[in-house]
Amino acid sequence: VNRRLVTAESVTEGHPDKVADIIADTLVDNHLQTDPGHTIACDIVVTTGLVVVAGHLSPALACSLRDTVTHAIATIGYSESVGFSARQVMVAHIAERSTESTTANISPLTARGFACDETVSLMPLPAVLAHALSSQLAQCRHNGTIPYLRPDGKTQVTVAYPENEPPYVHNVLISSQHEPEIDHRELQQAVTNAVIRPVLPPGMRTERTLHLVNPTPRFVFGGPAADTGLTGRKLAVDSYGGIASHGGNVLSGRDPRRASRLLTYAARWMARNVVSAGYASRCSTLLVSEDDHPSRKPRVYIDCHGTNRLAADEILSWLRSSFEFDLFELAACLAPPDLNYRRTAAYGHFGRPNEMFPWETAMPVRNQP
Amino acid sequence: VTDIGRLATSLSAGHVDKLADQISDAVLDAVLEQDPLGRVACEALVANGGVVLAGEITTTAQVDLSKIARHTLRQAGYDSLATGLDADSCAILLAIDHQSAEIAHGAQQSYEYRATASADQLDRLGAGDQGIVYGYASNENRGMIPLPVWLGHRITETLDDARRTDSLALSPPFRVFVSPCGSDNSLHACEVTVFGHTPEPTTSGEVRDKVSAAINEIATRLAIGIREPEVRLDVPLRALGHPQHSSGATGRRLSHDTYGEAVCHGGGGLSGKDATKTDRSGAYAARWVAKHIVASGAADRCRIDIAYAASVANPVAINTEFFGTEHIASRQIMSAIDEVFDLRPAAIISELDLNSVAYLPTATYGHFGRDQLQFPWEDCAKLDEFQGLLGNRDSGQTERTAGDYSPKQEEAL
Repeated sequence: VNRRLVTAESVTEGHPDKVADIIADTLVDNHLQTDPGHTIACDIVVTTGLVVVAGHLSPALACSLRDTVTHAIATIGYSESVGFSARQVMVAHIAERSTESTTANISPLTARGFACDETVSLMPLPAVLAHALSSQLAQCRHNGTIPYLRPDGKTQVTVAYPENEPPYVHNVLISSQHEPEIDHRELQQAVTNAVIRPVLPPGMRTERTLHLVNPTPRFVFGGPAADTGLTGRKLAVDSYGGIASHGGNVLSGRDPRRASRLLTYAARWMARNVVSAGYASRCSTLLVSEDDHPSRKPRVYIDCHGTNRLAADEILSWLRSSFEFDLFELAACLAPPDLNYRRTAAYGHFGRPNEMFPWETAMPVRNQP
Repeated sequence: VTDIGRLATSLSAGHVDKLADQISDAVLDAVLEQDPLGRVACEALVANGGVVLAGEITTTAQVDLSKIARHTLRQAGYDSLATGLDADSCAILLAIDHQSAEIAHGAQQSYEYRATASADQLDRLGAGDQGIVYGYASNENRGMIPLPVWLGHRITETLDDARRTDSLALSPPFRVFVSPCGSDNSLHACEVTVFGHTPEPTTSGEVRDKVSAAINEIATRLAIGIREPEVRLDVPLRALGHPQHSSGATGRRLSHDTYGEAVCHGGGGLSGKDATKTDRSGAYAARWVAKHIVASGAADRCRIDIAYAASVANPVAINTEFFGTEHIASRQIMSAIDEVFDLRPAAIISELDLNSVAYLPTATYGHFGRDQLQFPWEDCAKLDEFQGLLGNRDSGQTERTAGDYSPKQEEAL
């Protein structure tokens, strides 16, 4: 049987790159609460015993930086472990110039978005499954279902799409950091029972599905002590699992009202609305803005990969007439200052059914095509 | 724009993210030069006033990391306070650690080796980490990568060379934006815009003319039709990725490094990683395979996706996409791939001789389509063998995945 294999991966909140993203978006949240008149952009490096924050921080944020960082690390679960812990960490701040400037950014900004009708959250199935596994794995750690898990973890799912048959899981992979004194076999059983079984629908696993739970013999040493983490290094995990282009804009640590993050959310928002309106099964969007001036209206382009039920030109003119927003209006719709952006930093910025992210809602439709 | 994937941006060596990539790869090269089996995962953060080097390095080599970082900054044009970052006097913070013994052990003793005591030496080395890598090739130009990406990199490379030899008064960070403007998808017409900054505004007219002339010459040489390039030299440095204004990190420009945004990438960074990391070796192997497929005439355009699992030597999934351009049944191509290419990490490293590659040149102007540089993954060394198999076989799907090697399922359903 001819079949297509599509793979997506996800990581837990304890993965080093995600630790960096979470610290960055915690800073964004605090910034929006204390100093919303200015914008923020910060980059983070996390490694053994060290967190480096590079960026311009307001005085209030700079003063509380250590508390913010250690709190973020503790909520992830790095409170006791060796090598990286909220109890012993050096927090270094590289002060950058203020990003305020009267000169507009005149090189063009682009952003990409995607949606498909494969799942209710309008996301590709492998990405949804991988995130669900990561999130369930972290939950089993937080609520004590599997008490010996540690925060670092990764998941990966390959879905097979046979011709004219429903898709099934070809292989599933979970690696979780764990306490030293555990039985490897028991860990594999526990993760299979408490993570894989509840998440993967029974119909999707077949007897041929390869299950790999902790294929490495030992994963005690993990997190930022084992691997250096950086903000913006998990963009595929943040978006569509590598299945569709995400445009390359770093999200975490960037002010959500800044064009690069804002346009990325807007691109998903538009793609999602094309698919939810039933005009296409798959939709990729490209937004291009000549500069980052608030009155700038980004240009919109779409590609429905041949799945459109309406001429692409008609969909495009519907999008343009219905959602002709400038950057200021987009920010008002998609970047509310009271949203918890830290929640976007792990398990994906898109298709999160339990979160109320504004870019995952229906747009106020003004016109019918 | 008829195909929304085909806009391309190329960044100069002086862009802050590219500085980080170059420093990471310069460190890797320095280690491999003395110790070809050294393990390196070197991450750089370039910020206002200097560089933070972090990551994991396990080696017997003696390397002076700060000297390497300073040299790289100087080469990229940051050699004085006037440029905004002085390579000789800026700060270099080092936070380098050893590779975790567990990761090293997991890679050295693969799942196959432990499960079946496989005697095959190539089975011994498991993938360093999980992940998906994509390889791509198309027959649209000599570089076999999307034309706007290829053209953009060739222009940036030429302008950077001119800037280095002081024949062009351009600040180190600049970018070249290429958008196809042809009415069809053959796209032999592009619009080129250069966004840059000149330290001497009085001569900007002259600089602009030189840049335009250089671009037109490249386009003529490569036989690509372009409109009169637009050259903007009034862009503020903060909009160009200058280290004084924005911070940059290794592995942030993956589409730029590979095939542009029209083609997926798995999200794993390339620069600063030695070949035992499948993020890098897998991506090179995937490109190598894709290039063979296109060079053999089996398809005009091809993408191959390979998924690895940590500590497992064989890929857990392989997928091909020919975008309807295949000239031979896809299962026949798949079976030839399976026959000719061994995608286990140890096999890739030895076939492509990845322990003796100089990686620094990959950190700018793309890892692929660099026909001048003779990277092993660009050399279709197995073309005859591959082509031979395409002619006379039509067996069923024989893709090999890790499942075929495990003695039984991890867990009964």
